[in-house]
Amino acid sequence: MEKESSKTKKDRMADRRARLRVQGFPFAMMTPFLIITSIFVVVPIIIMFILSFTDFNFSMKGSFIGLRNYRQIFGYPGMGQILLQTFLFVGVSVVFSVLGSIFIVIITTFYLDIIYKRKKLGLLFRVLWLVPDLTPTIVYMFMWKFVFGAENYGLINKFLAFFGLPSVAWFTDYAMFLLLFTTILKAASGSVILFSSAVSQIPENVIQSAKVDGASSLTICFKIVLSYLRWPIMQKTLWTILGSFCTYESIKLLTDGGPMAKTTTYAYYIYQNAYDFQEYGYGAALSVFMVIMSTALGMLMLRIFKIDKQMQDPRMDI
Amino acid sequence: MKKLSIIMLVLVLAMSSVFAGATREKSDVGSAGVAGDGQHYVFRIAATDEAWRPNAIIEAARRLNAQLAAEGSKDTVEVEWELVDDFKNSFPLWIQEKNLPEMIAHKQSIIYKYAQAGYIVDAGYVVNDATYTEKVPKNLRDFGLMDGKYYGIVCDTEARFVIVYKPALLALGWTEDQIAAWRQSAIEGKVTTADLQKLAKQAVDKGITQYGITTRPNNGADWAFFYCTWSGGKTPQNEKGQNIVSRQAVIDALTFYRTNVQMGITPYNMLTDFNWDMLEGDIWPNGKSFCWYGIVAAKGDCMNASGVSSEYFDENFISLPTPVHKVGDTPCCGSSPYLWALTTASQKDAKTAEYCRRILDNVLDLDLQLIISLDHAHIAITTESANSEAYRADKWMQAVNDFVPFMFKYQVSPLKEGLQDMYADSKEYFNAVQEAMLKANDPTARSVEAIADDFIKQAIFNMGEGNYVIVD
Repeated sequence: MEKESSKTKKDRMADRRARLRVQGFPFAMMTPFLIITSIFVVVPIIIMFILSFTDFNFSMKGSFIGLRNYRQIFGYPGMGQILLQTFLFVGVSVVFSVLGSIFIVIITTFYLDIIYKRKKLGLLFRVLWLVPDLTPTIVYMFMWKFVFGAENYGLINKFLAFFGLPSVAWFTDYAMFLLLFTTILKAASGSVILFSSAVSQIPENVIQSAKVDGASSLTICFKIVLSYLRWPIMQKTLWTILGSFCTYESIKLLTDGGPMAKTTTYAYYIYQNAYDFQEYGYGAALSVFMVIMSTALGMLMLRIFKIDKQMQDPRMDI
Repeated sequence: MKKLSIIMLVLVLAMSSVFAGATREKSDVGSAGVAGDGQHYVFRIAATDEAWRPNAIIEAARRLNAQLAAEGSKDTVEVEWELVDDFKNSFPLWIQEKNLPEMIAHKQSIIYKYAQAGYIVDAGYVVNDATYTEKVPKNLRDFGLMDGKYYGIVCDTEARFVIVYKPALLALGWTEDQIAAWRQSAIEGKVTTADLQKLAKQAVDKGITQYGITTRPNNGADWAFFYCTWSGGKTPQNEKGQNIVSRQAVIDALTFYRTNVQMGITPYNMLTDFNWDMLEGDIWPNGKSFCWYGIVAAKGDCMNASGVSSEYFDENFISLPTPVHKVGDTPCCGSSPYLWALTTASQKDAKTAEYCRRILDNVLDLDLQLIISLDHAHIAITTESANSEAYRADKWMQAVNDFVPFMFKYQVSPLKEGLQDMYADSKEYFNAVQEAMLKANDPTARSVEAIADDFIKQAIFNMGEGNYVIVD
């Protein structure tokens, strides 16, 4: 009896160990990631949050000042303009970069690869479209500075002058347009691989069946291709929103926030205060506010895309 | 057992490397070793990649060794150059590591910032010693003065003034004598901004030059003209050292820039679309602009960018102190000088402080000063170098030296801790000038008064309440 009970105990322990092995394995695998994330993401966020209540600055000294930094954010006279420009920049760059990527992928992957079977041509276009994303930002932005240079010094203005047309003051009259154009081009370029892989995964028999049923290529594009792109579009949209919200380096390189601060976004304003002025406390408060704004935006997007439902639906593996 | 041995071995290796690192750091920081009966002092000078500044200090230290040997001392000194790309990154690290270099070379913005924080010391004992008082004119010595203390010791200084394309004046019918007399009257404060505008307009209207008045395209100290030309020729500060901003001066300045565009002598997009390559590589050296608000180094910069010769530049361009707003005002020749500064590390003992002083004295030697001034387009800071044959032979530098008596540095604002960087307010007046120019011909544009009020509001926000004194 005693022997039997000890056997049962042994079995129970073995069961528990086996269960722990099975259930604990994913946690064990996640541990390095959790440690790294905690050290490099969670801890800095906590430090930033604490810093935001101090006047810590260039002297590496600071004292607790309560909510003064937060009051200062809303007290800045140009804050309304900065926020407006930020939402314009984020909104336009997200919409056009995602639409641009979809357009490129439909042309190169769907039409050239799938419909017309011109795979090499499609691949060539896709590779060319990758160039902006592969180019380092500093080189990319200086190239555009040269292209949009003033008077007879810029490539486009030289071209206009060749036809006797007046030059355009790009960085003066179209600064936000230039910023959006260059950002959209780079972001659209980066999405091509993701979207293209999604389209390539569409089973051929699905397309063939649609054709047999008499669907035009445009109908296939809207009814089938776009539904396969739903998940990547959501992922890319979220990513681009958060990415463009934090963008400051391209602004620094292309327009330096000007003219008349017309291209100064919230992220660039943080950069100026935290880096140029070395007001680390104020910079931290601005960053906390940005984390709140981007989290709210992210949550809003998840709701719009009905993420819960999408998680339940079978989705394409890419 | 084997595992334990490996762990022990790793621990021993890790501990030994940690201690080795600590020992090395300690020897670096200590920086004084025994050499015979004397001590060997190793100092660090932190400077940007303009090697001639630290090189001058290194050479000055070598000379100190010769002097010490002649005095019978067995002490020796050595200076190492710590290349700093960005002081904003380096200074906080030095503070955290308690590893400040003894000397730094930078502009007053950084120096004053860290002086306020207590890491830069008053170098009055250097500036007020016999060598400096004898060799350097007082107004140039005072370039290191901040909040009543010599946190900086003048190293080299540029000068900012107007550069005029002489052939344009000749084409307008002027003679060489008239040009010389005009320049002299500008030095006496008799040439106004309105006079300059008129001449520039004539040059443009007659097709002599494409542009009339151009400016450097960057957001920098140039824009402190706001605080001098239209404020009677100085950067006004009160007895507490607060910067006084005259609303009327801001309006007058903005009116000047806006009028230039309306007169067709300055392109409306000058500050947004024009870049250095265009200006230094073509527009300025090739006489496409009647004049520009420039800097003494413009000669070298134009030579490098466009390939014109030194003789060509001397022949075709004249320096003019910035014209005054009203006759009788002092013409401006502002400067944003480079300064040597001594950190708290330079005062760790009496000998270190003394040797730092003597090194800085030796930097004033004529040959070193000529390298700093002539080879790198800076105003001679010692009377000896200004009067030297080599300096006098350089027509351009010699002419600019006429402005030294009324040269001044742009003041830092002492009350707002930290924000001494020109960015803090120059960003705002750069934006204000941009708006005045960009919307010059737009009937729906805001008035210069409205732009001025907005500028003042934003500058006060950036610099802190009480730091700016606004007067009407």
